[in-house]
Amino acid sequence: MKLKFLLKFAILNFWSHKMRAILTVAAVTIGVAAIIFLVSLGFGLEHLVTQQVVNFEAFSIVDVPSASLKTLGVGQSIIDKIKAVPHVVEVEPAVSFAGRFKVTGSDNSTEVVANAATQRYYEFSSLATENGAMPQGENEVAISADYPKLVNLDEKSLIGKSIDLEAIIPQEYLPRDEIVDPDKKVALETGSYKVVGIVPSQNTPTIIMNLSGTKKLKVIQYTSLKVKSDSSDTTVIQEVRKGIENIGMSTEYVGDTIAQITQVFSVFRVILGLFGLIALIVAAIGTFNTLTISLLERLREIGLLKALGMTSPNIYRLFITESLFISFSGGILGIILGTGVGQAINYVLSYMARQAHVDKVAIFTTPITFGIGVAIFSLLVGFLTGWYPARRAVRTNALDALRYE
Amino acid sequence: MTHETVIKIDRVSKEFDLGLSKYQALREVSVEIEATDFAIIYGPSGCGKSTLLNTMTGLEEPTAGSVNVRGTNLYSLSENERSQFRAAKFGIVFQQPLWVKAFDLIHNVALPLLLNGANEQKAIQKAAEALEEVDLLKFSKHKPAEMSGGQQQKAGLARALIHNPWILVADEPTGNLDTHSADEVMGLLNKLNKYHRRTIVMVTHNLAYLPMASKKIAMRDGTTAENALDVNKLIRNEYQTVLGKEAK
Ligand SMILES: Nc1ncnc2c1ncn2[C@@H]1O[C@H](COP(=O)(O)OP(=O)(O)O)[C@@H](O)[C@H]1O
Ligand SMILES: [Mg+2]
Repeated sequence: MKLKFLLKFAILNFWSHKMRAILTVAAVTIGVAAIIFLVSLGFGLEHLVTQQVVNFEAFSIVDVPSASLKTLGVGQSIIDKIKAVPHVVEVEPAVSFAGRFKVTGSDNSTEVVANAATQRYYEFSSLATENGAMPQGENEVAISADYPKLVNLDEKSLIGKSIDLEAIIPQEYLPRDEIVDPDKKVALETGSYKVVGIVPSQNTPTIIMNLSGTKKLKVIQYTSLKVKSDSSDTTVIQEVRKGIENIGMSTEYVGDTIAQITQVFSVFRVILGLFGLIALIVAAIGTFNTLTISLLERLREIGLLKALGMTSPNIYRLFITESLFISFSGGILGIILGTGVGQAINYVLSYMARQAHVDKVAIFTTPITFGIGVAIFSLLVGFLTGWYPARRAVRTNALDALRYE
Repeated sequence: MTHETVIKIDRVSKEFDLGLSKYQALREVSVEIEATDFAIIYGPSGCGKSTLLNTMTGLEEPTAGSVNVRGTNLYSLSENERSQFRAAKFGIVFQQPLWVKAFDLIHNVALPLLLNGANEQKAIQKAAEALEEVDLLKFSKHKPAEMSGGQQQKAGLARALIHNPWILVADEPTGNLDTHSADEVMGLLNKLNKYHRRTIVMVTHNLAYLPMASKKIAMRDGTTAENALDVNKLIRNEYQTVLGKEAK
């Protein structure tokens, strides 16, 4: 029996009850579409979250956080050591401390966190202003949007104003000859700056300054580093982290966070996938039912085919092919429907986002490998549902089948 | 013309297991069919005619004895080999019309070739010729079930012969037909035997067809009857009982 004829035979059999055929395929379509739709939502949301967390460059950057430094700052010698670690291409320092500031001439001062870092450091952390510019020289600062909100000021009106900062600097951050009173843990240092930009909210009022801006505060130590590797390859990153940890520093890597997020989302996706699977199982039971009914209806035909010399393997193939045909066409249509609905929702959301002048969002993402996986899975389901009716057809005795009414 | 034996049935017995008891449907039946034969198996209902015919085609495995078809011992073959042997060497006409519903007439007639892996176009071409011969070509694209009983039986004959088998077997092919259609089918069978030299084995209930037979196999209680006249009487009695019942 030629494969082409077998296919034709199976499809004609299937199509001989049109309504039943359509309903069976529709059930599989809906089941597969449910899986695709729900899991694509899982993928899309994950994508949305990880995209928010990192930019692309972030994957080649290892953090050396202040938490590991206890009260001790990091000096130039450690930076030099880290620079010597293989694969390290840049080491960018930052220092943060607390303090209070006031707009020059006003009476009200505000508690503030101050961060000072190199321009590259800020690039690595994807920090940018929403108004004005990032601080360049030693006299410029940016302020986080928390402050104008706190004091009910228009963000833009702050730009160009000068401020007086009183910084609370741990003694260890200062050069030895600057330590006035060795019994005190901290020293108060002051400086004046000009506000040149506003950065997005950091949850607490924050001053962002260029590392050179700490010169007048006499700070010579750093509290955290960002180390850029020449590759974002996980083994390279692993080597870099090892090298830094051997110097006595601890490391953090955005990939760890991403891995955690991915893990959470993979559980979420499994749960969503299971909901879709329920629909597919119901559809599979429907397919099984259809095949069994059509087997009983065609028992005499099976007797005829056997009497005419159709071999058992061919009878088996005929039934399996019909089942595979149902599940595969349902699978393909389901994938088209599932991604189609997801993309339609994406489109509507993006349209609404454009209207509201915010970034466009896509909450449904269907990786191509997932689509292929589902198509293969639907074939597997077809094989499973077709297996039993096919076996029964094969085992049917030709004479009994011919007598069957 | 030499006497070439096509089918040799040697002491074939068939016992049906009914669960609590056993039923002996065939008892040591021995029959030989020759190439030129138009053999008719006849006998009262339940005497084992169909069972005998089915052992010949390999559909019913006997409990004892052997069936040889031109030197091939049917029941020494595996089931699949037997299927393929049957497909190639036998053409079968059934009592009731049996069709694959999904196919039109011409595909149904071509089915024995298609199941055997033939090229579809060629198979359809052959089926068209076969249908032409029984004057049913005009129904090619119709579903067989739309035709009359007589037409369906003639189409069944075309299907049985499409692959040019050695032997044509027919189990009461006229059993469900009106006399006119039945005579037509019998005329076709006769022509096939006489002019196309086709070996035919047929089961019938109708004694009127006996004169056509070159070999008459009378059966009674699961075995071939020595006294054919007894068998004839039995069949007549059977008819009379049936007719009597209908009269009441
Ligand atoms: N599969 C079967 N199981 C049990 N008994 C059967 C089976 N097939 C036939 N028989 C019995 O064997 C006997 C002969 O049957 P059959 O050959 O069909 O008779 P007929 O001469 O009418 O064609 C009958 O009594 C029938 O009931
Ligand atoms: Mg019978």
